Amino acid sequence: MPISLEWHLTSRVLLLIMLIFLTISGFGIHFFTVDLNDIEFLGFPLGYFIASQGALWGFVILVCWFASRQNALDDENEIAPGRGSQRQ
Amino acid sequence: MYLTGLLIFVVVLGILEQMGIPDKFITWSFVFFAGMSFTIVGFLSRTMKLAEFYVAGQNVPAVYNGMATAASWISGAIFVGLAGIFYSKGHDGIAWVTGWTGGFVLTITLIAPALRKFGAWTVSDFLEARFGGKYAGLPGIIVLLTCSFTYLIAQMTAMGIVASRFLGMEFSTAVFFGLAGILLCSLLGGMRAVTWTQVAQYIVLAVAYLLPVVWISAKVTGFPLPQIMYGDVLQSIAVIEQNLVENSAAISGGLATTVTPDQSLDTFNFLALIFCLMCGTAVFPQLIMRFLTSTSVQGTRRSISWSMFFIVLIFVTAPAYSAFIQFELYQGIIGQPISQLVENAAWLFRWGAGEGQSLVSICGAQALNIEDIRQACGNMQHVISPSDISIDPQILVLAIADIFDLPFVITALIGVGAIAAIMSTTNGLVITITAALGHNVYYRLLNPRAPSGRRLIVTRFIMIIISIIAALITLAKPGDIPMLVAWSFSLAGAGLFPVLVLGIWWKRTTTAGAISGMASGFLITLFYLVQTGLYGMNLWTIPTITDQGIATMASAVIGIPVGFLVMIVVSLFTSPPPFDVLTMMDDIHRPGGKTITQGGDRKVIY
Repeated sequence: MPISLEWHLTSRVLLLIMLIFLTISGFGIHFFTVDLNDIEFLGFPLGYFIASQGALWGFVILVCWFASRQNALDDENEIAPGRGSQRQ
Repeated sequence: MYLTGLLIFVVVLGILEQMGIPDKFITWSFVFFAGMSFTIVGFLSRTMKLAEFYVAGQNVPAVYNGMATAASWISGAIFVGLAGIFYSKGHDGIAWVTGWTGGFVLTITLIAPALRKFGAWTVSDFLEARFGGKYAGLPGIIVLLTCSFTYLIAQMTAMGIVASRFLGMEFSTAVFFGLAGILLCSLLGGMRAVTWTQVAQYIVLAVAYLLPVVWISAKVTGFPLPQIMYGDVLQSIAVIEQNLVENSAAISGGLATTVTPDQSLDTFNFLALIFCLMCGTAVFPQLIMRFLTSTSVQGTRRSISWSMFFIVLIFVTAPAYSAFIQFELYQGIIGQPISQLVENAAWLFRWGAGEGQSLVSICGAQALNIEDIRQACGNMQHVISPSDISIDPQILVLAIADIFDLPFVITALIGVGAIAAIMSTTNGLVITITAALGHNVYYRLLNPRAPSGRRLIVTRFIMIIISIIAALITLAKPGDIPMLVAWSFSLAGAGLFPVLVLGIWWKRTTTAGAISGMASGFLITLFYLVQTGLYGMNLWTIPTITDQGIATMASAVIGIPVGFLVMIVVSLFTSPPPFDVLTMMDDIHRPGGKTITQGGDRKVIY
């Protein structure tokens, strides 16, 4: 059975988005920390705040979003006729 | 419910303390309460089924699996030492938390759901089926054992240190005390018991980590939300530091302001460290095991989301610890003459000595009594500057209640939290190692016809042997905790990350490619670690990128690309994998649908 088109489209795009975001939040921010530190946010220097807290909560949101998106995709494929598979 | 019980217990003990019950009684009743509850949970989860022993019957609800994963992930070293990393290394501490959390993004997209879809019980199950033949899983087992065992030794060492300081035991007694704890929890129920004790342990460690700093935040800033309020504290510290500079007091190293990057690691090493920790986290066998216990592929994704939340909750609090302590040091000690010490900071003398090493020192003298300090500094009127004071970062979390004059019951709570953090990680590691040996080596390699009753007995026997060996190695004190942690993450990342990513996502990966890639990545990392760590080789520098040299912590930054490269090149030069493997991979990639195997066995009914 060929892999479904949805899989190709949605998952690869999601994967790409995830990895880009990971790169930006994890690595990219580092080069701007010093500049952003001049801005104050909730009493923190902004660059430090993003690196120490923002990025981590960003990961949490990212992971939750990916999980719900991909799980929904699983469900859609479950209902598709002719697969003959059931939920675990 | 357990949370309520714990809070009531803390309050009752707090009242007892006010009535003048001795500290020792409070400590021991805490340990007894926690130990008993873990043991009871472990006993209630006893099982005679293999699937329950290895993967908790694959029916752990996502929220609890998230808690258990968080407990498994937050090791004793993180609980006790993370705030210390922020304190001593400032901004560089961010590399650790980013790597340790970012790895979950990699694992949810690339690794764990696919392994769950395959129905693996261990990582080697997948490698064996993917790369064909009995022995294809063996390199995976070797990597798994090396990194898990190193981490296990680190945890046992931490157990020895914490329990000996906190309960006043000998180091060796404390190690065996920890060993008994592990076996009590997990011998009868395997992964099922480990899961539920880890849930209980997460509750204990989270309360123990958050409560003190929330209290301190309310006390210092008037608002009990430390994660936000420490911003103001950082600003106050900056102002005080500025004043000190104007008054020409030298600020050298001791208490660097925490918000500027590139203090001790250069940019390359900072990013390399994040990269290595992320890759290591994404494939860390103990975490993968936890995600394989979920109810379904979708359950695995939900479990990872929850565990991410529970872990980040702790991680964003760590810098607050460090900020509040720095603030207190600037307020109470620095800039004051030493004659004020006894009055302002009596905690210094209680934490000065321990384990035969100096934990707190002033002017280079161990803080035991004021007389020693007076001699070291010169005279009683000596004004303390930031560089005069040195505190072992490892004690910050344990000592914080004392530093801020909170009741002793909080100190006891933190100690029990640290022990819970260590035990949960140790349990997870022991069950991971046991599963690899009992399931993959004994059953799949040596004796595939063994009936399940004998497999259970052999597995439990292996568990006891593993724990005893680990305890004996720990007693020999092979290395300090940061070094062991560095080894374990580098080896996991270099050995397993390329093979799992390519094995799952690139169907063309062949057996020869996988084995040579794993071996080259793993061995080059091991070589770098052994040479720099044990034989004093200089760190490798890369001209114009890093003059500092590739840090030991980040040594997988060489091994991972090498592993990928070798795997791709060798795969392209060997013939493609057989048809049934390609079909299996299509099945794994298809969204929805059943899991393919049960612990690597197709169509087993148990």
